Amino acid sequence: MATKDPAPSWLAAQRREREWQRLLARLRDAPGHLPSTVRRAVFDNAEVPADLAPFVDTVVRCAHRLTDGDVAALVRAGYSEDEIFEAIIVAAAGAADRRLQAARRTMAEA
Amino acid sequence: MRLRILDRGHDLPTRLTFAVARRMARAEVPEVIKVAAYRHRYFGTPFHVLVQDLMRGPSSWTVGERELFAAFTSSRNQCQFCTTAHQAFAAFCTSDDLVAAALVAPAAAPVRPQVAAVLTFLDTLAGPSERITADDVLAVRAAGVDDLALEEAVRISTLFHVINRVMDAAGAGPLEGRSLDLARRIVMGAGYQLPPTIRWLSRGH
Repeated sequence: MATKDPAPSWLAAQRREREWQRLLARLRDAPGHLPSTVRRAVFDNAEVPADLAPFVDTVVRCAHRLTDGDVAALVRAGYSEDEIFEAIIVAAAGAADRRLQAARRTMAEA
Repeated sequence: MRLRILDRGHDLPTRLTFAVARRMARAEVPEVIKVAAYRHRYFGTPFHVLVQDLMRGPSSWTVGERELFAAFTSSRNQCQFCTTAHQAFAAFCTSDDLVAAALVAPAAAPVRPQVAAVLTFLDTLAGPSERITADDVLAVRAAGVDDLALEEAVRISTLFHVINRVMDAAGAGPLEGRSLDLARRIVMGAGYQLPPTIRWLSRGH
């Protein structure tokens, strides 16, 4: 494998966490099509509006099983494509962040 | 793709960039670029700044090892688009056989023990419980991986937990043929950031 670069420092790890949190804040709260309150619920996969909740849960748990019909159902329910785009990204980011924070917590405690 | 905005909703600078890329490569623009370029200031640009930093910046891991972590997470999430892409990128740095073996049986793969230990950790972390135990961490440390290196690998995996879900939800299939060749040339040559004509000229909010 290619030669690796010098390992980053603790400071670099802190910077990376700040940049990740800045991205998450943008996804949840930047001006968008879904209200920020809905995006925050989607991020947590908790208290998501009933017509959006099954879709969000599938993105979180098994996105590879989603079908054209799942997206078409949301469009029929009145969601715009931009709203669905935001829901997908925020749900995915929430699922990813829960794993990252679980790993960081466990590393700190172990 | 399932959302028409990801095929036809891009602004003029982005459409022109795609037209030039199609003409030069005689291949369709990889779907991840279409996703990242749509409203790129909301998601695509800041996300790929993080990807570039973790996949190509200073690291405890070689580029090939980082691509292997990406391919492994993508395979674990059953994301065909990202698995085919990053399997090819990792193989470009190592070999097809090594990467194929690592995706099937990470603990027994012909990689250094530190990489095998991290792959096993990432395998557990990708499980449905979103949980990890102290024993999982201790096993990685016992293989000679310090916590900064493990956290880096977890951050790489985290970014792919995001993009795997996004690409699957968007309806992207496996990356193949000339599009895979184009993606490999872009990523192994220039890295992960969006083309400057999109970053600088597209409003993308």
